[in-house]
Amino acid sequence: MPRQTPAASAKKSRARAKKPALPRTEPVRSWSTLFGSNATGAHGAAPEPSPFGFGGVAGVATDSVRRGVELGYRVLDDYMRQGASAAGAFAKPTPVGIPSTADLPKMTERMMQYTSDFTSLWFDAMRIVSGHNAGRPAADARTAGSSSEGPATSDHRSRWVLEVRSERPAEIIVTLDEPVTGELVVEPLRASSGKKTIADVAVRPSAEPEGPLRVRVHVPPKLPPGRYTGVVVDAESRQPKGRLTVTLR
Amino acid sequence: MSAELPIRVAIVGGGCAGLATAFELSRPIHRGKYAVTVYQMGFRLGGKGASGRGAADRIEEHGLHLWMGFYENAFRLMRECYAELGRDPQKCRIADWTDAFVPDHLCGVMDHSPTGRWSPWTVHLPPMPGLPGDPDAEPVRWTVADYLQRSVTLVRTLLETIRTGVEGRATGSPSAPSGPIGAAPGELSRMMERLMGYGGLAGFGGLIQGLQVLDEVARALPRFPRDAILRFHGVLADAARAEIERMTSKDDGLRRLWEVAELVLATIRGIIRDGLVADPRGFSAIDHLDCREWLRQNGASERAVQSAFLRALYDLAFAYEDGDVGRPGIAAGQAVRGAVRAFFTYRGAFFWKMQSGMGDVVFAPLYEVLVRRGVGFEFFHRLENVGLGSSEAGERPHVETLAFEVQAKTRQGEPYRPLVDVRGLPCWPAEPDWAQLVGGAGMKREDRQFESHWDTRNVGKKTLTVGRDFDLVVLAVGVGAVPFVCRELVESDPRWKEMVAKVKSVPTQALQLWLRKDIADLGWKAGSINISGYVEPFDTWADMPQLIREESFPTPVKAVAYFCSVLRDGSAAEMREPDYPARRQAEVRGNAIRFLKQDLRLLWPNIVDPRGRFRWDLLAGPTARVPKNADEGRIDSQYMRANVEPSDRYCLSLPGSLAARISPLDQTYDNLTVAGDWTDCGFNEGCVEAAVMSGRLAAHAVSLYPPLDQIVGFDHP
Ligand SMILES: Cc1cc2nc3c(=O)[nH]c(=O)nc-3n(C[C@H](O)[C@H](O)[C@H](O)COP(=O)(O)OP(=O)(O)OC[C@H]3O[C@@H](n4cnc5c(N)ncnc54)[C@H](O)[C@@H]3O)c2cc1C
Repeated sequence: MPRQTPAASAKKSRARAKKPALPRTEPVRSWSTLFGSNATGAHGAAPEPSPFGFGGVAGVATDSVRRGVELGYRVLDDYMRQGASAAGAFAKPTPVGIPSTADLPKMTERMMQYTSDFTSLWFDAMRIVSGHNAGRPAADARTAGSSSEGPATSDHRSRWVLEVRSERPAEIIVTLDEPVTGELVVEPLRASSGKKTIADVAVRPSAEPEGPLRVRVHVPPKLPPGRYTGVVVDAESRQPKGRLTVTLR
Repeated sequence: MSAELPIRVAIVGGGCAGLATAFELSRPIHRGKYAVTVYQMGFRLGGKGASGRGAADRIEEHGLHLWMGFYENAFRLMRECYAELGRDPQKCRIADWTDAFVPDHLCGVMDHSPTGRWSPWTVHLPPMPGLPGDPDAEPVRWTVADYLQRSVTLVRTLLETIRTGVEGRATGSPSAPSGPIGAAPGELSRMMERLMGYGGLAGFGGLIQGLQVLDEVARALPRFPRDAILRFHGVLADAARAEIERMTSKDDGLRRLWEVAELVLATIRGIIRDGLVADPRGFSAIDHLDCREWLRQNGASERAVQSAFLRALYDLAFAYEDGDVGRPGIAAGQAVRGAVRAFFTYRGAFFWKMQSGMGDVVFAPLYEVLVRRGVGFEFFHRLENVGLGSSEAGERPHVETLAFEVQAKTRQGEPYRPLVDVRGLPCWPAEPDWAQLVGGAGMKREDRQFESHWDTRNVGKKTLTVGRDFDLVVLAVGVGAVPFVCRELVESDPRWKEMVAKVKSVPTQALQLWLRKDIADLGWKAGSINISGYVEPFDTWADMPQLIREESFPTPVKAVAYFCSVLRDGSAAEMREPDYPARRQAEVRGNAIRFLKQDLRLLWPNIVDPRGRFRWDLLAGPTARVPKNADEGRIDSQYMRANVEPSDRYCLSLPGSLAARISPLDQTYDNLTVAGDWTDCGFNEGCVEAAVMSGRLAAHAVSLYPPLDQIVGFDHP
């Protein structure tokens, strides 16, 4: 029997219900930009250096790279909010299909893992579309400490100068996929959960070939623990050159 | 039912989009969290897809509706619906979704050859693995790179076919190697250089080898600089043009293949030139351009852009601004997206044909399932205005009221029961069941038109207020109705103002014929078909013999033919006249007579007598009464329709307009979401699939379910 308007059954007035906040509001139109699956060739082969002497899809518009970056962040946010909303769901009665409370820590952990995996994948894709070699091992500089300054080793450089100001112990990972000499810009590092950022960051290569790479990270006070990631971009070409990750404990 | 009070969702408009939202929000997984009510003007659901049973149970549609094999969301919805419905096949002839939709592999276009001759070009599109709506283990991630590669393969296949055609008559040239070359990038680039050298691409062998190289390059695009690929592509396309045009110009079949190959070659060039593989906007990056313009920019010849194939693409999307066939327009990105989805991602069959009226096959089952789930239906409720409330500081704006005209009331206030039984199948009637309505007999005498914008007679007003009567609103009316029902929104919100100005719609016209001879006897020899690209006023025809058994004509019917086309738009002043719908209806009648007398003979040579006069006696009417005069008055025994109601107007995808669409996921209003084929729903072209996607997105906006990656094709280049 058809039912009529529910108004009568729920006449009593109450706080106005609102639509929930959404994880994302736009389609992801380019997985290749995000994951690099097809950018690496349909057979999944790792890209090789360009036979023409310069790499990648020549002419990938700078702004499309930037949009790719933005989009990447939006999807990252999406993953993170999915985690948050899944967590929120546990506080309510369990509807069919949503895992039980016991799974919560595992799920949150997976979400975080997802996020960090995803950042790497996406970053690799960005390098591919912008013509960098994803097949080559990345140059990682890792250091940990609450406040440190000193050298670190890497494939490309023998010396690092790290300037870290942080209330909490911080692990810093700088990944550059090739030697860089020009001016670099670091996008604000975004938290893997919540909206906090670390904006006061810089990576400065030295003018001399063997000179030290200077990395500065100033973590604002009271920033919650977590993983904060940002892209390192060539200031002139706006091509991504690497990423900087700070993990606060 | 959860312990909390349910969230009351008012869905205004019961077309594909509104009903898809209702289906999602009433899923058992929500455990009654949403109390859904659908408000619908008039007596039936379905909107642009609504149909009704008229005299002799004949099916009267708004227009021809075909479902395509890539309608993953729409098929999923219907498959779930039928499964839940659980009809007994012994008692109901359309019990399962496979009874409702049947694969149709033959389609065609009417080709106008350079010699001025019209001829049908029919194509059998092979069945593809799987069925539309099959649940996949993993969400599919389509990429432009993948489409690019498939396009190159398609050109190769087309050229191979042309070669077979040409060499079947001429002396054969040596066959080119087939299969992947498996060369390393360095080797490939040397091959490109060599082929570009003098004579390298000469002959079919050279061309096909060139395409093989292009194929390999497309698989590993980022390793090659764009300019080099474009140069190679240009030389290849020029060589192909020089080689093939000469050979195919006298053979219509081969010429058509070459035209398609040219269009695909231009698409390949455009994808590379515009950097679409890596553009985060996907194909939307070229939505500011008209499809033909974009193809021209990428080297397609004028003949190819005016080809039957491309004309059919425009016809199927009614893509003519203001209904003026002299002003074709469809956003290039969406057109390419539509084409690649249609050709490269269909499952089962390219087209699927409904085995009864769309109302009976789609909207009656949905209605029944939704009623079972407790969804409320308020028929005879015409929305007049969406009223905005005043927001507190920091709050997003919201909808405060929904003002309706109540067009009719049922006796004893019982819910209106809208369906009729046609030999065991629940169907929608072509007119309301007056007997259920208070004063129904009088309303019938007065000829109340509940679905007409121009008939505003009503029995009262009803205003729903937020918090008291509803919480959230899903606005699912057709785009043409938005300016009338959302005046406040349009006036106060620049985005809505821009949306109604840019997202334009057009009227359409439809004609259904019932014939005493089958199509073979009428002279059509190519088999049961859906064909487009023919002349106005009815550029598209579909043979619908499967419907004969659904209807109860007093005299045997041997063929049912549906025709459809865009209709020239009226001026704003014309549209304000109360007799506007009647005038347009008369115009369509005139168009139909002219079409039958002048144009139909090209499709069906035997529809005219030896003196070339249309044989009106071949039309079968739903009543035994046959008019004595065997003249054009018989047209009135057939069904014609001018779709001029604002909400029934077909939504266009004009170049430069798609960015103005509003997404069901838009967060501007905290209790309003939109649904409909006019929204920014990932597939921005008026069709059932877009409507269902938008409906699912609206459900996501309300409940976060379904997850976005389950809305197939939303995340698509
Ligand atoms: C002639 C024609 C042929 C077509 N052929 C095909 C085809 O072959 N394949 C395909 O996929 N698509 C086809 N389409 C497109 C397809 O029909 C639409 O995309 C789809 O039906 C749109 O669904 P919707 O829910 O967005 O809108 P609609 O179907 O327009 O639904 C809107 C609903 O809102 C109701 N409504 C409007 N105003 C009010 C009001 N003021 N108060 C209350 N209710 C209101 C309407 O009555 C209707 O029920 C065709 C369209 C036309 C016009």
